Amino acid sequence: MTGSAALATNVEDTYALPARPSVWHRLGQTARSQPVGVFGLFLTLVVVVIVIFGPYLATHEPDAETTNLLASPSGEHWFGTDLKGRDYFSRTLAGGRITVTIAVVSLALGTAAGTLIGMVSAYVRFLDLLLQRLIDAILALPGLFLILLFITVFGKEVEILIYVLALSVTPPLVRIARAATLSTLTNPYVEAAEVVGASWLRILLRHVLPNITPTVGTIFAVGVGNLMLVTGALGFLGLGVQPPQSEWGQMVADSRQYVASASHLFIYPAIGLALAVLGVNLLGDALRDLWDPRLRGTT
Amino acid sequence: MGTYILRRLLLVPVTLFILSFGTAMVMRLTPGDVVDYRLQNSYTPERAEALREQLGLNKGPFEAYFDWISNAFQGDFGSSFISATPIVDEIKRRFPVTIQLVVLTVLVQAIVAIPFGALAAVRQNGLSDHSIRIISVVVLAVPSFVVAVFALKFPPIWWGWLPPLGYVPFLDDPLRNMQVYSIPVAVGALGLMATLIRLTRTEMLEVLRQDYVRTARSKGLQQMTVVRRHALRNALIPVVTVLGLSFGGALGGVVIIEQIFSLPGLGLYALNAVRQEDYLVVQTFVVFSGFMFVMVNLAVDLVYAWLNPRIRYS
Repeated sequence: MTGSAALATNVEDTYALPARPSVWHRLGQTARSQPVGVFGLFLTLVVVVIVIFGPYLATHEPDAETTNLLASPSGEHWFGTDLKGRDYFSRTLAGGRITVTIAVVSLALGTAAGTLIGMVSAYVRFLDLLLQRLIDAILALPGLFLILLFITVFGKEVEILIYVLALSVTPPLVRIARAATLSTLTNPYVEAAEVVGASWLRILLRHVLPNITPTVGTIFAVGVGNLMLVTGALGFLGLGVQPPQSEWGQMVADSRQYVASASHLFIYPAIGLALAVLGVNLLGDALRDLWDPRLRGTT
Repeated sequence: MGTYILRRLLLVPVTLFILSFGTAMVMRLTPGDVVDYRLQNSYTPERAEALREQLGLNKGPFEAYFDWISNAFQGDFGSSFISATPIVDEIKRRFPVTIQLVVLTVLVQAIVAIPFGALAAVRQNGLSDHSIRIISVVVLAVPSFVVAVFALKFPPIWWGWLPPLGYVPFLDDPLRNMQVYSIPVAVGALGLMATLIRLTRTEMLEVLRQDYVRTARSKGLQQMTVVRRHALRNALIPVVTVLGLSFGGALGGVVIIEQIFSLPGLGLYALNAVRQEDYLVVQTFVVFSGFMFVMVNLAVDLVYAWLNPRIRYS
């Protein structure tokens, strides 16, 4: 009795898999293999802090006008003041907050919609034909122009901006999700699920979705930076976030007249946008390498 | 191959119909029209009604679309509601401005990016590889409008040199024309370059590991010959595709560059038309740029098949 129990433990000991390294150990290893990604994560965390705690970090009310116009950076106004005497540090924080929020929320919406439509399109043949022709047409339009068109028609409120940007990222995602779904559907386990009578909803959610998540997640991680650039570009063209709310692209556009006398107006939002995009891009590249090794080094 | 081309061509009208119909409906079924823009302060309901009558805007959206498309088949895309000039004439006038910008941008982008990408791959993990990769990541993060403002505003302050502005057709004054284009093209190419450098590098790394490259090396060919004749040629096949696609995309994506450098091209025309709800112009622009995009994509696919005979379309 005791003998066999001792034998059993012995066998288990002999054939046990090596102890699974702790989560922290694995995180440490990943971090060492992706030093650039860690730097990206750091920048991204700074951006996240600005988005969540921006209003608490601001030294002044971002929209409060004073008579201290176009002041250079000083102890009182860290980034100086703008044309209406508003504290530029607080405005830069508030501007970054809105730029990043719009980019992330709209990309999340667009990715979710694109994934759903793509999966359904791959699975339901008669819808597929219709949807793909529609997407052909939308993709034949220059992306920025599609956004301009919808913004002019529907207005420039922040919520509308988010929906329009989401709409603009949906078609390419439909394509990607559809292709990924089609290749997943050829797997024997999908056939098996069909044989045992699983509904199409169950097949899509339980068998397809988990398989295409890495692909879609990668597109999301790599796309955030680009969407921030688009949000900024719209602000720059005067079609994005409207004053008095500040936004990085719009701040760069407004700084143009004062570049000679007050270059700080140009420098801070420009550097803010560039650093934020750099951070999420580096993090996105690292995540792509982790999630989808086949794509390593592309784009 | 012939059937493939034919099938792709047959889809073109479908795409263009969806595009133009969608645009027309989106612009017509929402509140506000060009009349608000034209009248602005002198707006009264009677005047607005009279102007709508005069411009033919009182027709229903479907009727108006049907009229427009039946005229369009005869080459008449209507006139702008703002300037009353025929849209086709305006597009003909502005097309060279935009096409020169796009072609130069894509060329400069390729000429700079391909050698750097190849160099980075040949010296993988070396100093030049790391510096090229770092620079391209940084460049990718800087918005092109920031670079444009920088290029436009800082040289006058630092060196008292003003970048030449004001479009001149190439045939009128080639030198001046190239001067005017130099900065917009540099800014536009910079924004697209990073992606192409990274793509070239990846493709080169892939090809450099192939057996035929090893064979070329082992038969004693010089490094330069191996890279240029055996590796780069094969690595460039996907690069050419991406370059072609970026050409199609850039065709309408020049809105920002044209706006900042006030180049009177199609992007600026469309941007203003959208702002002023000049919807026939928008509709025509959409059809035109959609057509260009579809044709360029088809051409890219055919060039791809020609460069890489292993590809068979069916």
